[in-house]
Amino acid sequence: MTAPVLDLSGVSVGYLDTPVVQQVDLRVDRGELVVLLGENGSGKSTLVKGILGIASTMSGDVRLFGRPASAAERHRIGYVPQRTTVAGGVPTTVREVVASGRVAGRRWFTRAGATDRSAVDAALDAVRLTDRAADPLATLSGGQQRRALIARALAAEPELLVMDEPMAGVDSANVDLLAEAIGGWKRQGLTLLIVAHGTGPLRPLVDRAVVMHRGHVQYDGPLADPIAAEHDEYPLDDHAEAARRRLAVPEEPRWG
Amino acid sequence: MDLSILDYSFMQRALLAALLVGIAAPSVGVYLVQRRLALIGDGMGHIALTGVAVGILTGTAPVFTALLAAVAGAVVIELVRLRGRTSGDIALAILFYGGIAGGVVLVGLSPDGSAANLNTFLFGSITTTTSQDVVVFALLTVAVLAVTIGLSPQLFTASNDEDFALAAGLPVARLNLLLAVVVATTTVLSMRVVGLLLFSALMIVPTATAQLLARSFRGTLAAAMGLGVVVAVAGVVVSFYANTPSGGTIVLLAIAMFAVAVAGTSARRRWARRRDPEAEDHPHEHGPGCGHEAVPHEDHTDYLHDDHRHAAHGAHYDEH
Repeated sequence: MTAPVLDLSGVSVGYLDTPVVQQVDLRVDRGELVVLLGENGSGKSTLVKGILGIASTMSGDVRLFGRPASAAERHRIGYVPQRTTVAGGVPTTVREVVASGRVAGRRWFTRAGATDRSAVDAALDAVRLTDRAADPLATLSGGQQRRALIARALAAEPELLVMDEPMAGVDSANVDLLAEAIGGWKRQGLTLLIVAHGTGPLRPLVDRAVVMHRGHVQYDGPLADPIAAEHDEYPLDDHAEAARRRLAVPEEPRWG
Repeated sequence: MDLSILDYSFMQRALLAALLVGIAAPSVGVYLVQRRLALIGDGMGHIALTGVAVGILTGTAPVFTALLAAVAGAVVIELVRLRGRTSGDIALAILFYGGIAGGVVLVGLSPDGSAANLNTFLFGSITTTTSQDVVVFALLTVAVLAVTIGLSPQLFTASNDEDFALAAGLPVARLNLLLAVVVATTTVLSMRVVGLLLFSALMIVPTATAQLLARSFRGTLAAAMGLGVVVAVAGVVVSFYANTPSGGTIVLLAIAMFAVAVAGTSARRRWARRRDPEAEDHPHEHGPGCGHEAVPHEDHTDYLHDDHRHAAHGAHYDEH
């Protein structure tokens, strides 16, 4: 029996002195796809930031791959943040952004080698952005930028992929394609923790749903349970479709 | 061609110092621009002034005391930033004002301290670079480039998206501290030729110009360093013939170059538009969440782009 990829016990996360997430126990096993549900302000994103070391944990234990969380374990995690656009005023090509995904695992004062380059190529190909690799990131559409950030996470060849609202703002056709891609990565053995408002087309892939409510874990179990279902009442494709009609936004070009 | 400028040994030293700072300053500035910290260098310059004054007062070479003060200031600034309290902003302001006030008062106390003496440090003076300075500047330039070029992937990753860098396990706090120390070092490197009040411009303005010309981060970095060398060396030459303070001359040249680049890019865009008035050819693909405001227009959607509307029409955008 291998150690869980992620094991939290009694974890509290907050900003300054105010805890936002309190006493969370959570376990994600190898190869699982766990979806983290809950309304806005329930503490989903804060919990994820605590797991990833972006926000500091105030108490409790975060164990990654069976060991206390440290830089070496973090190199094995890929993170796709929620926002679509990357900050910074300096022009940056798509390839530069994707390649930055491999930097943390590399020794200082060493240059990228052939392995690094082929991993970046593979990541670009996985999100169908190979032909845009040399373009500045700012010239891509919002959906394409999101894909570039997914590629950045994949470039590190992670064992755990953490995605914060990967489907927000993506139109229905691309949501289906993203779900298809996620299914492929799961079959290849990738463990996934996905923060979402609803599962939409991911539903058949979900092994377990965790529902957050006011900073606590309210439910942890199968998606079919009424409590989980209550927080998954907006299948994403319908939601995106309605938003698209409301805004009269034309569909984005499909992947590839 | 008149080569007499090189007959003066102080000019040889000034040109060497200009070359070094022209390479080093923009290589640091590109990370500051990326992190939207373009003004942090000004504060470091203020703090370095206290160091300079301590040097004048104690008869030590001001280069060393300024370096000590600036590096200590950089460490304090990073610690304040790391704690992330709202009062951090005020703490930084007090540190910066204290730096310049301390410098002025300490220079006033010293027997050979005078306003003119202070001016050369604030605005740069080509006649003041000593041989010892040039040696120190060369060593400092090597140290700065070792970080800004050698650790470019790490600094880029941390500056581009700090949350992602933390999640990936990069030692972001250590990298930030290193960058702050490098900014402090550049302050000192620049103080003879550009001056403590203006050196930050040499970190930022060539980068701002390079941003307009390049498509990639590497391209911006290389172009900024190239432009930095050109304006620093040309500025020293001009200041020799025109008898103007070198710092101001260099910065005005850098700003002129920026203005030319802005005019050039917008002229190119206008020209492209005139060739095909219906279509604005641009590589950005408008779509939901692309950053431009979407405006429903009859049966399609326009996107507000600068001061006009774009509507998708085949492979290009029409003006609506």
